[in-house]
Amino acid sequence: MSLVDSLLSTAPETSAGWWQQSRDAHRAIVDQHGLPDRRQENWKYTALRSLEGHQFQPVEPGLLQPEDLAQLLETHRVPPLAGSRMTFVNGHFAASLSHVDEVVGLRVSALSQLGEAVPSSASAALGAEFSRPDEGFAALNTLLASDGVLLELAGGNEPESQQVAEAPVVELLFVDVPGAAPSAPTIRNVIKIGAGASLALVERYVSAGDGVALINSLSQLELGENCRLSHVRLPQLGEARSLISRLDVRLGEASDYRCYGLDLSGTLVRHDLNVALIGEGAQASLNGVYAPRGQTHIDNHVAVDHQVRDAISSQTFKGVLSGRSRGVFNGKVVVQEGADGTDASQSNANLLLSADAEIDTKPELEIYADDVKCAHGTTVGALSGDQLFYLTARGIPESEARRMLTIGFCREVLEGIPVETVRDHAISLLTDHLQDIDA
Amino acid sequence: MSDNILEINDLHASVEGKQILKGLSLTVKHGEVAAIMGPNGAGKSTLANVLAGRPGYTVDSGSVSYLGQNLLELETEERACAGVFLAFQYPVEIPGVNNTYFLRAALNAQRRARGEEELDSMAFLKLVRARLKALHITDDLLHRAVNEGFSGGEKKRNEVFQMAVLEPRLAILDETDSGLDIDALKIVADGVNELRSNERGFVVVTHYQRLLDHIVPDTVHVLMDGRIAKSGSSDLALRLEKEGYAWIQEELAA
Repeated sequence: MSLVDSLLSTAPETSAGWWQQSRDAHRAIVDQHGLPDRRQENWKYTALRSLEGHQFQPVEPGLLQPEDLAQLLETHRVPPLAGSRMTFVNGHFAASLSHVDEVVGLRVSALSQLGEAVPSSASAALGAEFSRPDEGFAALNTLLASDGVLLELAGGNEPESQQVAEAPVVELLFVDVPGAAPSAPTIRNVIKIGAGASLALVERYVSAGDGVALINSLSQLELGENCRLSHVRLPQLGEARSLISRLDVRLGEASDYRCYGLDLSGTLVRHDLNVALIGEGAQASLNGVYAPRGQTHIDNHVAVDHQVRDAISSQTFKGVLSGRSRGVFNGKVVVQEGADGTDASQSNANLLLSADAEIDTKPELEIYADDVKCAHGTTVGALSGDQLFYLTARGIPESEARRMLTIGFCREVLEGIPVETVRDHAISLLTDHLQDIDA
Repeated sequence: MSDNILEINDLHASVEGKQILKGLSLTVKHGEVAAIMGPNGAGKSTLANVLAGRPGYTVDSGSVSYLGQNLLELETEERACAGVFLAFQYPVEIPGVNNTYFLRAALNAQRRARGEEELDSMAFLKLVRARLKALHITDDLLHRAVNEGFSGGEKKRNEVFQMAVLEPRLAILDETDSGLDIDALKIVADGVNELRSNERGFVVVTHYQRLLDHIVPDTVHVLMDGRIAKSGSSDLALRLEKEGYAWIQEELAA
């Protein structure tokens, strides 16, 4: 059985009325296009071979007691975080493991709680069509999604007085506890931040046990005027887990979106980060660190679309690759006609620690406006000899100096994470991961 | 034990196949501040880097004895652990590596190598505060990444601060005065003077005499074309400032 058929066999038999129409439409799309393959430009360097040959089974909600979760989080050294938490186990909302703080204007619910009543504000996102031949996973997400978050934060906060670091925190916690059979938890999130509001969003994935799972996550984010969203994504995936994730972000006037991702593990990880700057003066800061080891494959595809004037975007991605691992970075910037005053920058720097590791990195710029500032730079290399000498000349043994520099190389990116607890956790995950690396 | 902390004998060294040091000999006594002056390209920085063990600098012949041991046999980090310190002419920026964390790692590596117990963060911080106070410098450098975004003066101050914490036996200052305004120069010089002691030798490499107004050397050596062309007291530096190096060339030719 092909991968797509295996995944289709896990489709829910019935679903809420508001899903049904969209699901039927996407069933036709999936039947037509299937899943992407390497003949498609956007999938040239990422093959799905490692996902094939599994007989995926429908996912059970999975029973997880609060004390089990506490223990799991302790094993993953997830620090307690002040704020709201929405927990999903195997793609299904777990109310007993979730809590939502009283925050003015904040409404958080699970899609499964909505019944037949979908707020009109979310229906456009949930009904969005994914019909390009290379977006089979998004089409499949619409078909298979078992649950997800609907988060709306109404405006009214004074943007001037509220720093991102003090914004309310919402944690989305996705736990997978697969049974004996491979599973494919599929999650759909819709997040809308109203004018003037600020939020810190933490998206976590935590794996229990050793089973095979393919997580398909699609989030649609919309930021209104003058609002701020910091978004930290920390997949702590088990070795046999894969994650196909897509973010579609739309940024309104003078809004400020900052995203940080840290990918260290898993079999196959693919992120599609699509950001449309649709309001003047919007800012997007997109950052990622990846440090695959062993045979892990991590692919970051970023596409930034400057549709209006005077918007700013930056992409900063750093990778440390060892073993037989593989990394892909594709950073696309489109500056549409009339989007003058655009300031777009992109950088991707990589350290290759092993002769068997590989990175494919590609900037893509399409510029249709005249008055724009676009900078991009890509490096693939080894540690700086000058930095290494500086550390060893102070007495630090060379192996330790190499480790310090390798960690520092990535750490710099994570230091921008605004919420201190989350920043510290991300940095300690990175540090532990690279502690025994042979740099 | 010898009075000398450092004995360099007929040292020949090259960089990328080009011979730079051509028979350099120099001794530095315990407690001595030896200034090395000379025109551009004479080999001053090469000498500093060869002593510190920088990769890419090849010793072709000659010997360097440091506290009675063969310095050239030691790896870069072993030299540091044995008490050799290089204050860099161009301290490198290391984003992502915190200055305090780095310095503690360095001090503890040196303590481990000497068989001493490592300092925990409390004890280390106490030491750091004491050194900052002695050098009259503020603690704003501590919280930043190593040299990242530091001004020229801050970078040199950070070098002297590291020297104060690591307490080397032999400190080599490579053009520490370059790029400093007079206020920054004084802070750096005061720091060095604070650290002068009978236990410690200094090799102060400089292009200009003005640093030596603030760090008064015991001996002055003129390095020309890869060897020491003339040695004298601090008066020699004053004459060089006034008359340049041409007269030494003439003396040598005579």
